[in-house]
Order: sequence, then structure tokens, then C-alpha cells
Amino acid sequence: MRDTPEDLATLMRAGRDGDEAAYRRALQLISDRVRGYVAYGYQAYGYHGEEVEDVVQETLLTVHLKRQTWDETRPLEPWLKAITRNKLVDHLRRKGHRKVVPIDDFAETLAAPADPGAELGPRDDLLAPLRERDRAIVESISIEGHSAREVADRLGMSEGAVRVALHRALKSLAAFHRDG
Amino acid sequence: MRTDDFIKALAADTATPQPRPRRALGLALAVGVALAGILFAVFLGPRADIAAAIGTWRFQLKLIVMAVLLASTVVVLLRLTHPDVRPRSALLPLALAPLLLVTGIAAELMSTPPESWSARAMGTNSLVCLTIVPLLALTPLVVVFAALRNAAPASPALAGAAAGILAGAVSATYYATLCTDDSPLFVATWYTIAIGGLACIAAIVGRQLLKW
Repeated sequence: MRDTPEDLATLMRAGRDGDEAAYRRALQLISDRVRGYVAYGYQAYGYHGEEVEDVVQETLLTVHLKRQTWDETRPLEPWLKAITRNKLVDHLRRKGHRKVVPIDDFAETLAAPADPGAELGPRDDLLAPLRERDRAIVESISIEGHSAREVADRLGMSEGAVRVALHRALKSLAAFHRDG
Repeated sequence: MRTDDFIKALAADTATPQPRPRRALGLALAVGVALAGILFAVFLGPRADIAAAIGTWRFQLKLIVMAVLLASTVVVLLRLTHPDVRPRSALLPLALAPLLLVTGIAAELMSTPPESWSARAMGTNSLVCLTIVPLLALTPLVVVFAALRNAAPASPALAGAAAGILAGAVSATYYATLCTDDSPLFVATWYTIAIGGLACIAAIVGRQLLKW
């Protein structure tokens, strides 16, 4: 599927309504765009590649937890930029920068650079703040690629309990990286 | 962790959809209005001569101003829940209630002798107003803040302030049926201080609590 704004909005809409496959595809397309925005924003401060993926992942987490705040009658792009900007500003503040990156500075269509996460990986351990069990749940769904059902069987939990734990874990991750 | 792997974890978390800001805020407002109404009915209640007061323009005006403030703040706050809305342009509807009140003040100044203006502005219930309006606003404020936690305001402080005005408007609408000071001069002075104070405190709290 070509990455046009219309397609992405359609995928995001379906994903928000619970279509997991569409949502995953939407997040993949979003990660490419966000990576472009973050790299562009970072360049302005003289930073390069290495920490971009940290910001990308935190932005994706926020996109996910705040997906209900996208108004379907409006284009997705400005919403995405606003979320990215928020996370980028957070990161830059932690590094001691006070100035704010204007949203409009992000080029309208920016070619995403190759995925640095593929080779480098992010520098911070995103899941470090999680409790043992929550971490195991997130890792087996993400890195090991298991379904919630499989994780539930392995840990002797119900599938619902796994999903609740996953949701709580993601929320606490966001809170940790926001306040940290 | 690779980003593509992390996405799998996010995608697995679609079973618990979050309520849209409009729905969350609407529900919170309904609950806040109901709870504040119950508290008002149980502990305070309207003034004894309300039947007579309802026919006077000053009483009507203060209720209308508060209702307009309430409605316009809902519109503004709803806009502020989205991260991609520029806060400044979203604030315009907030001018409506003050404009209406200014019209009322003009009518008051034209229809009453200047010697009475100061007494009308000071009234007899200023302290009651400054106490009841913030206190009665607490419940709606907490409920609205809870609903805003799943929003993503571009400016958390501004969203907090708007929540403060909203809660203040709910509370002041009830209080207006109790207070016997009907002059627009009184409303412009004391209601403004009460609601403005709430907005300031809510802005400070919002800056922390509504960060995302």
C-alpha cells in the first residue's frame, strides 16, 4: 500500500475501531513519518541519529495512548506533528534546551531516513521502568511476537488479564518517560 | 527494542478503546452539574424570593451571563483537548459572556444614580460569593480534570484554566439563584474574582496534571 495521507487516515480510523492489523500498519507508517520529523527537529540542535529512535518510540507510545484525541474530521498530519513536537520538546528540555521547536518547522513532506533502529537500536532501555511481570508481558508480545492469547497461556493468566496488564504497563511507561 | 517490535505491543493494546474527548468531557460535565446541583439543593438552595426575582432583568441577566459562560467554555475546552489546535484562536468564544455583562453594566449605569454604583458593586454578599462559588466548583472541577487526563492539550495550563472557568460557571449558575445581589456591577466584580481565582489555581494544577 502506498503511504498517502488518505490511506494512513483510513488505517488509523480502522485501527482505532479495534482492527489490530490495520492499526499495526498505521503505526508502522506513522513511525516512518515521526522518524523524519524527529531527525529534522534534532538537526536544528546539532544532534544526529543516535537518540532519534528513543524519541520515535516515546512518540509512538503517546500516539497510541492519545489516539482518541485525533479528530477524524481533521487531517492526521498536524496532529502527528503536534504529538511529535511535544515529545521532542520533552527530550530537548531534559538535555537543557529551553527553546521550543515550532511545529511549522517540520517540512511538510520529509523523506524518512533509513530506520536507524534496525542496526543501532535505541540507546535507552524503554522498558527498564516496568515491573518484572509487566516487562515479560510486553517483551513476549513485542520482541518474541506472541499473541496476547499465547502469553496468557504461558503465564497462566486469562487473556483479558494480559490485555489489562499490557495497557497498564504502557500507561506507566508513558508516565515514567514524561516525568522522568 | 526495535521500533517494529514495540509497535506489536502497541497494536495488541487496541481492545480497550479510550473514550473520545467529546464524550468524556460531556459525561464529566453532566456528572459535575448533577453533583454540584445535589450539594446546592441539600446545603444551600435558592433564595426565598426567587419567584419574584425571576421577573427582573438583573436576575435574568446574571443567569444568562453564567449560562453563556458555561456553554462557551465547553466549546473552548473541547477544542483545547486536541494537541493540534492552536490555543489562542480557540479562546475567542470566551469573550461572549464578558461582552454580554458589559452591556448589562452599561444598562445599569444608565438606569441608576452614580451615588448608588459603589453600593451596588460591593453588595452585601461578596464574601459569601467568594466562598460558595469556589467551594461548589470543586466537585465539577475534579470530575472535569479526571476526564481531561485522557486528552492531549497543546497547553496543559490553558486547558486547566478553561476547566477552572467551566467549573466556576457551573457553580456560579447555582449560586446566582441564591445571591440577592443582582446588579451587573456586583456580578462583574465578585463573580469575576471568584471564577478568575479558580481559573488561576486550575491553570497551575493543570500544568502538572494535564501534561502528557
